[in-house]
Parts: sequence; structure tokens; C-alpha cells
Amino acid sequence: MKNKVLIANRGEIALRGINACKELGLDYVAIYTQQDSESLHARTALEEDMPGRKRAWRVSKYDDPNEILEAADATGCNAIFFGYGMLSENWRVIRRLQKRSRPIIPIAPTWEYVRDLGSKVNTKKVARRLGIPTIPGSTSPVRDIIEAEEIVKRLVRKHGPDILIKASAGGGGRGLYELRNVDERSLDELALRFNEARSYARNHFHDDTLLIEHLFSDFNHIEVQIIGDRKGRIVNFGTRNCTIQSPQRQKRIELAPAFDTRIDYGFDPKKVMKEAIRHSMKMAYKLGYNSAGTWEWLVTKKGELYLLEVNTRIQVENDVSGRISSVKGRIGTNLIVEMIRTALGEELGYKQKHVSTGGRASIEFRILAEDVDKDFEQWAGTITRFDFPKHEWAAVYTHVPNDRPYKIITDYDPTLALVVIWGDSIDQAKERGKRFLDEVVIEGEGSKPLVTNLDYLKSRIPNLWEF
Amino acid sequence: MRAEKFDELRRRFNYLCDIKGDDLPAYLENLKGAFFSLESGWESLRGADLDSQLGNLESKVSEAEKIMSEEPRTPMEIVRISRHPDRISLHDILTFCYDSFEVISGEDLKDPDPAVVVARAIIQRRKGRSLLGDRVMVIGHESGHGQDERSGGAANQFGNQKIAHFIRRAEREQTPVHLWASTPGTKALEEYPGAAQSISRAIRVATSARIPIVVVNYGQGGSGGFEAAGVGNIRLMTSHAWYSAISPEGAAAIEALQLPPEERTDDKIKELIEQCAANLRITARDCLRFGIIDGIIEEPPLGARSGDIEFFRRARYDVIKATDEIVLRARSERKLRNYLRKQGSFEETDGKFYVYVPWELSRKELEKVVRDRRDKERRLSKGFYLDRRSESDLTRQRRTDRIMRLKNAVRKGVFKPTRRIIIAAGDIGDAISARAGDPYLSSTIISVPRRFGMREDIRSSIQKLEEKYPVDESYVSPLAKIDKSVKCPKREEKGCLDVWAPDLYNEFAGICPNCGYHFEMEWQYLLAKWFNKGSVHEFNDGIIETNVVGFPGVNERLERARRKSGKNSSVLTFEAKLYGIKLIGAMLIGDFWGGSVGIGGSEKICLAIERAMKNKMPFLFISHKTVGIRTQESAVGLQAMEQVSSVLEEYMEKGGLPVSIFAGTTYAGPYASFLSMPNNIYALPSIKVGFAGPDVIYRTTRIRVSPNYHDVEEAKQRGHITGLWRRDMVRPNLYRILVFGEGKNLYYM
Repeated sequence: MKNKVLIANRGEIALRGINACKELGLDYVAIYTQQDSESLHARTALEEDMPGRKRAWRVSKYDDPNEILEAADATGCNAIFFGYGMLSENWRVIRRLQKRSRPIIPIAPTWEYVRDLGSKVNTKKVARRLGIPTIPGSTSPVRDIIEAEEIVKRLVRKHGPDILIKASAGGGGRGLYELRNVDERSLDELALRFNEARSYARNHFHDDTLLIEHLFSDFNHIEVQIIGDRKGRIVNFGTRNCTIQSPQRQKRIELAPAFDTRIDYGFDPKKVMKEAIRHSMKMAYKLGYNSAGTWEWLVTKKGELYLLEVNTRIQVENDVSGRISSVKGRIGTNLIVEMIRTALGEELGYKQKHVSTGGRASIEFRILAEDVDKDFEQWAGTITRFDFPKHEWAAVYTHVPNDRPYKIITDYDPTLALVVIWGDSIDQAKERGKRFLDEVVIEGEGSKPLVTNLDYLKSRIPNLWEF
Repeated sequence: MRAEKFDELRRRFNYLCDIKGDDLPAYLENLKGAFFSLESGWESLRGADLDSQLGNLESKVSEAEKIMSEEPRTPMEIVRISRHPDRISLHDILTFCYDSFEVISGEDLKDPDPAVVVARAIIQRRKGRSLLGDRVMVIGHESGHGQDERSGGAANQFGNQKIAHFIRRAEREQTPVHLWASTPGTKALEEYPGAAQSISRAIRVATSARIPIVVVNYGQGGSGGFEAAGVGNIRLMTSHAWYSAISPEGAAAIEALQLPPEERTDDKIKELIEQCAANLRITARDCLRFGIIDGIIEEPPLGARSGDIEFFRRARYDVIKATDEIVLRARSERKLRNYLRKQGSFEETDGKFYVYVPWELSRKELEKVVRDRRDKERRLSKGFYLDRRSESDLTRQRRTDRIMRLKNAVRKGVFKPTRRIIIAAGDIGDAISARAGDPYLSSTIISVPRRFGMREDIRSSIQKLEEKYPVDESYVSPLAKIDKSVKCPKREEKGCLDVWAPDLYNEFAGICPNCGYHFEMEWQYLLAKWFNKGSVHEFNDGIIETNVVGFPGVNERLERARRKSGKNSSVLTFEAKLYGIKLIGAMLIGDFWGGSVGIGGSEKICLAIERAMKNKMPFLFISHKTVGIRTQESAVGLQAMEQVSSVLEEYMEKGGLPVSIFAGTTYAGPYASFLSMPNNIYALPSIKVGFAGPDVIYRTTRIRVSPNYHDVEEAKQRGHITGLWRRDMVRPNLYRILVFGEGKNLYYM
């Protein structure tokens, strides 16, 4: 039977999914909503839509599994590509695909991984069992102030006086309570914050258990990109650095590789990157991980590594790793293609020794219409002109059309475009990045004049790769 | 003068017609004609003719009365007599049965509930030459000969609360209570204090009041309303009163639902009402036969009316005798009692008793009065069920009981005293080392061993407990095995997505992940997911429910229920373990005849509570679903409620910890008695709880209630329910309740 893939997402990732399917020679169906029909992914699909061969399917919302399954059944798709966001980390949906009477292949890890690695508590438990360093703190949810005091005392003695209390069922930066300069002998404030956090957790997540961790204030956020096939072979595509984020913890600039080996960080960057890869691969192998995934790490100023979490999906910034890596000498890997290919049962066909980055570097900029000075406030309006230069060392991923005005939809992720720049060295990549951003033109109309984060991105370029 | 006489005759005639209902016999039809012709020719007739005509009519009416007096009363005629405005009222009773009285509540029609009247009264008895008086508290339903405000004696929630309040007051004053009950039912309003809750409280108070209580049913014994004033040491009934869990009309409406819609005609319904009245066995003779009442006070053949002095004399004599009997039983003056009974010396001649029994009782004797009342309630179910319990079941019960008792003895006799000594020794140590007074510093000299501190279970997190005592993960609801999407009923207003059944009925525990709506689930799921794996043991399954009053069709329906649920009763009693705590529970299961509780089921609950009481264990009610009392069991079914309430009250008095959890629709009888008695009442969201449905409320009060009137969320706002628990959070929540509720009379482990 010929494979047919349903693209269950929107925007640039849907577009990338469509392109990957075309590259693999697969038939596809994209979903779109009425309000999103001007988006490029919808337009691409609609243009190729023809009677007897449905390519575009209208839904009322992107995150209703019932509608998506209805679309898959009606169009005869046997696999679903989730991308990132939306339903990509919903293990119940993935299990439903696998277990229903007409099974559908999820282009994602099988559901057990999504469930087990989706829970931070469980990930931590697994990691500790394998001897992988995790953020110091409680390993199981705490519900009792007496227990909390014990943990805090231990943490303060061993790691320092800053403490973070968070809901064990939480996520997305909600329900975090920071406690700085905790005095081991007077824990009155702890009781106060603990109860606050507990009532927040109870009200928002229906689970009043909490996690207590050491709070790191100066650190770098690095990632290891991994791909496994369904036959048990796993390779990695090196490291990334995603430290530059907005105050809402949304990434703005991503770099690959994670560190510049020429800079003196106060620790050996080569060793840290190697260590992160080693740990990630160990965990992936032990679990038998079978799709694309990202292991996120925290690196302290002293070069200590701690596992943050595992993302069991493709990430926005996957291309920074893909562009600089070569497989069997061919530079540039499309990780989405690899992901779809392996999920449909193909083997990877290469080993870790065939993958190399060869000193190349790449940068991803996320272009948004936001006011950086006003706490990254979102701009609303219509984009009337959106031009960017064409270079062979740059790729632009966007769902914003450049031939007609586009009204920014506020319901979804506000990113307008992802720009990936690559070069043979870090310096070259930086220089190309600056050149590219200078040539980007965005014009728009709205109640307020258009503001973008282009200047902000440019201002960060000289300091990239610094700790 | 003549007109008055005519009216008088017509009143007598109308009374006869009212008894007969719509279908009048020939002699009454004829009389109707005679009345009509006399009335139409009234103007044309002269004095003497009129007199002779009137005399003629009078003799005819007397003859009709005589005929009717001689024929036996059918059950439906008794119902009509009891509802008649001419029927004796409480005021008549107070006037004629007692020597003097003072109404303390309910006389004013603007009272919160004029349907319940409370009076202090004095009964005088002649002993030799002296006149001796005793005070009693008279509480009763007052119909006021058809006064609208009193709505025929249908009490509202305040009226039932009044009953409870004044029984307690009588207890404090040590005055015997005479409950004169006659009510068509209670007004099923849910507003605070709540119909069901006030009835439940009245029953609870009556089962525990340390005072003799005599109950007289002098008219209508309608279901829940009657129960509120129906618990006593001795229950009497006048011969033209009835007693049932449901009125014949209500029963007929239920039976009519079994018929195909085209057959539900008015005539058919009328016929069904007559049939139900007979089949429900509601008359005094039937009740006596079933052992529900202790005696009958004879009425005139056409029913007692205000002027029947002879009846009041008899009633007065019977209530005095009943009170004496209670007092003598408590005094254990068995010899005297037997002697008197043999001699027939209670018989009153010339207004004199041969023996005067003073009604004051000592504290110890009052305890006996309560014991007597409870034993009497407990005996009621005997013979109404089949006991086919297997030997292995009984052996198992005996074995676990023995182990529990041994453990309790060790805890009480060894553990607790040792603990006290060690802690005291520690205190002395602290005092010596001058560290006493600081609760955070432990003594360095003698420290309390860990075993004697607060139990580990209480301190440790639920997570750890869950690892130590897992639930049965292998149980999967049959609902979760179907590949389909389920629509949430609240999707319109809350925007819920359809949920896949295997997700919904397994990990989501039947709860809509978006809005928290609780879908119905089967009872096996609750047992599997609320208690430790393998710890649930059912017992007393061999108690089999039967057709107690011989209502037609009940045997077949019982058989159907047995086949559907695989159980012998709608009540399932079990022992189970919740983390470290052993408990005993009773669950009303909806698969068996809608979870309706009959006398067999109540016997099972009583046995279970008694086990919990003996073994000092917490007791748990789970209402998976219940529609109420099994109405086909009539008055016997009502006893089931009283019986369980009485045992439960004793358990609570001894320091037991009962908890009620409503996991599904919970209505009527059980809700208005034992399920509402515990102090800890919890419910799952999005179920319905209430005393009676919207139709009944409309019929009794003419109030149209909103569709969400019976939502459990509303019940919580009205204060009837302590809290709402999600289905998947019952386990930890219940555990906390049990841990915090551990008193000196409950030993867990």
C-alpha cells in the first residue's frame, strides 16, 4: 500500500512537512482552518487539490483529534505528521492512532515514549537510574511541608541558597515560585511560598504536589538532536545552543554547534558537548528511542551538565543541526525527511561515523513582529510587504505570503519567519547573518506602527556563542 | 332549623359518597336523587310535608350508613377516609385524649410549618382517691380539617426539623413523647435545611432519644414524611389508617410505566390505583401481620370523626397503656408485668387504672429504653429475606473478626498504655534536662521510639503509599473496550472535544478532561480503583431478597435483576483496604433494580455496620446509584430505612466513623435516612441527588423547579454535602478523611 501522510499542523512546519513528503515521493493531505486559508501551507495544498485526489481538508480547529482522524479516514491517510506544538506531545492521541480499529502510523515516537518522557518527574527518575546528572532537587512529588523542609535544607547545604518550587503537573513556565538567599535556619518564607505554590497547582493543574529544585541563575541551554529508526538504530546530529530567549522563555536565536571551541569559557567546551551527547545517546539507547527527539541540557558557568527534559518531537530549530551536518559526505540533512522516512518503517541507512559537522556553524533567527523594549509585546496588524534576499547559504521558513497582504493571526504562535544561516565557520555564519538581516524588508499596517525584532536580533550577533 | 337539618343530612351523605369515591353503589345513587328532588322542591313544600320528607331522608341516610358500616372497607376506601377533611385532627386528639394541653409550636398558621404541631399535655389518672398527672410532649401532624395552610399535614423541611428539635427537648426535660403522625408525605423541597436532611435528622434523633416514645399513626402514613415522626418504642395504628412507602396513586403511576403507552388510559389508571392499594398491603391489619406495628386502636366502621368520643377514650387508654408498657420494660419489673398481663389488670374501669405506673425513669433505665427501641427495629427484618449464606463466607468473616479483635485488644491493652508511659518518661527527662516547653526539641535523655510516634502512613506522601499499596491496574472497564468517540453533554457551553472511549473510561476515570463532567461508570470500576488490589472481599452475598408483601410481578423483576447484575441483592457489603486502613463498606448498586433498597438489603447493611462496630473499623457507604426505597415493599420497605438508621446511630454513638460517598444518582429513601446521617458526606460532580423528582415537587407544592434543581453542585451550595470529589481523587481524599477522623474508639491497621 502506498503511504499517504496527513499534515496535522499549520504554518511553516506544515509547509516543511509537505515539502518533505514531496521529496520522498509521498502523497499528502494538509489541514487548514477557514481563518488560516491565506497561510502558505493552506494555499500550497489548495493549489494542488484536485477532484479525486484530496490534498486540502478544512477543519474547525487544529487541535481536535476527532476532526483530524475524520480527515485521515476520509482521505485514506495511513500516517500523521504532527510537527511541533498542537498535538505533537499528546501521548493519548498517539496511542489512539496506534490502537484504534484502523491504525494510523504516528510520525513521532511510539506512544509509550511520548508518555514516559513527557513527564518531567519520570524523565528525571529514568535519568537518575542511568547515572545521568539531573537538576538537584526532589525526585518525587512533594506534598508535605515537613518533607519540603528536609529537601530545601539539603539543597541549600549542597548547592547554594537559591530554590525553585514548581508544580509537578505544570509546564510552560507557569506555577514557578523562586526563593532566593534561603537561610537554612529560618524557613518561614519557604512555608509561605510552598503553600502559595500548592494552592496555585491545585487550582490550575488539579494536582497539588510540587517539585523543589535548585535554582540556577546563570546558565546556558544546550540541546542534542537525536534520530532513531524503528529498527533500533540511533544517531545524533550534534548540539545546539538555545540560550537566547525572551523573558517568557521563548527562544529567539539558536546556534549550532553549542559552543565555540576557540573561546575560553572557563571550562572545556569540547568535553561538555561530548559529555552531553554521550549521556543523551546512552539514555536513548537504553530506552530504545525510535524517532526524532531532543535532549535538553543546562550548562552552568563551571561547565556542569544537568538534564532538563526530553522533547519527543521535531523542534522548531531542527534545521540548524541539519544544515551543518553531513551524512556520508553529503552536506545538509533534512531531519523532517529522516523522521517521516524512519517512522514509515525505513531504516536510517547510515551510522554515527557517517555523520559529521566538520567545523561548520549555523544560526537560526526567529523574526517576529514584537516590541522588544516593551517586554516583547506582540504587534497586531497586516503585513503588506515581506521581502528577503535569496542566498544559497540561507533558508527562510515562513507561512507569510509575499505576494499579497497577510493579517497576523493571534491565536497561534506569532513567529513570522525562521531564518537559518549557515557557513563553514562560526565567523562566516555570523557575518552572513548580519548581511542577511540587513536586507530583510518588512512593512505592515496596523493601529500602531509596525515593530519587529530585527534590530534586537542584529544587536545580538556580535556576542553569539559567548556564555 | 329545617335547612340546618338538611345540611347536616347532606354532610353525612357526602361523607359516605366521599368514602366510595367515583363509583357509587346503587343505594347511594338513589339517595342522590332523593336529595336532588327535595332540594329542587324545597320552596313548594309546606312545613309538615317538609318534616316528613326530611324524616324520610334521614332514615334513608341512616340506612345507607348502616349498610356501609356492615360491609368491610377496601384499602382504597381507607385511604379516602384518612384524607377526608372531616377526619379527626390533632387538635381533636389533644382536646379529647389529654386532660389539658398547651400548644408550643405550629398553632399559628404563619408558623414556618403549621403542618406540624407541638404541645405539652397532661394526662391524669386516678389512683384510689388521688388524681395523678403525667406530663407528655405531643408532637404530630395537623391537617386542621382541610385548612390550606396546613396542606393536609404535609410537613416541609422546617416541620421535620421541628420534630427532631422537640424530641431532643423532651429528652432534656425527661417527658415521654407521643408522636401522632398522619401525613400524605413530605414537601420535597431541597432548600436548606432540606427535606431529606431534616427527615434523616428526625429519624436519627428519634433512634437515639433517651425517652419513651409512642407513635400513633392516626391517618395517612405516607413515606418519608411519616418516617420523620415514625420511630418509637411502640407503634400503634388506628384501624382506618394506612402506612406505605408510596401512595397508591404514586405506585399506580410507576406500574403504568410498565404498560404500553396506548393502554395508559384514565380508567386503567383508576383500576391500577385500586389494585395497588390492595397489593401494597397498607392497612392496619396488614401492618400488624408484618410486625411493623404493635397494636390497633379500633375506630368506628366509617372512620373516626371529631365527635367520636368513644374512639378518643380508647385511644387515650391505648397510649397510656403503651407508655406504661415501655416504662415497665425498662424497669425490668418482669414479674409485675407478667402478673398484670395475666390478670388483665390494665383494663380501666370507671376511669381508673388498677396500677399506676409513674413515667419517671432513671438514667440507666432510659438507656434501656433506647436499647429496647433499637432491638425492636433490628428485629423487624427477620423473616423477610432468605439466608443462604455459605459456610465458607461465615468462616471467613469469623476469622477476620477474630484477628481484628485480637489486634484491637493489643492496641488497647498493650500499645496505648506503653506509649503513655514512655511519653511520660520522656517528659520527665525533658524536665530534668530543662528542655521542656519547646515542642521542637526532642529530649536527649529518653526519646520516644519511632513506633510510638505518629504513624508513618499519615506522614508519608500519597505517592509512596500508592507504591506500597497499588490498585488493580489490570481492571479495564468494559466501556473502555469500544473504539468510539464519546460526546460530552456540556460540549455546547464548555466547548469540549469528543473523547475517545478507551481514554475516557480508563485513564480519565470517566471524567471529561475539559470540563470535568463525570460520565456514568459501572460499580466494579469503583471497587477496583478505590481500594487496594486484591483487598476487596464481599460478604453476606447469601442473603437473598424476596417478595415481602406479595406484590404481583415482584418475583419476576427480582429474577431479572439477579440475572442482570449477578447479585442477590441491590446492596453489596464488602471489606476492603484503603492503603493501610481496613474498612467495611456497603454499596448500593444500580444494576440491581435501580439500586432500590429493600428489607433484605437493609439487613445486609445492618450486619455490615455491626461488624464495623464490633471490630472498631470505619464504615463506608457508596451509592453507585439508587432510586430509593423499593416501593413494592410498602411499609416494610420503610422499616428498612429506620432499621439501618438505628444501627448506624448506635455505631456513631460508639465513636465510629461513617462516610457516605454518592457516586451516582441518589434519590429518596436512603438519601433521606442513613446516607445523609454521617457527618462526612461526599459526592462525585455532575450527579443528581435529591429527595423526590420535579414532578413530585410540583404535585405536593405547586412549585416548578429548574432542571438543575437536583444537581449535586446545588446540593453542595445548600449545605447538604460536605464536598465534591473527582472520581479519580476519591482514594487519597477518603484516606485523609479516615486518617483525620480516627478517634479513640477506632483502631485502624
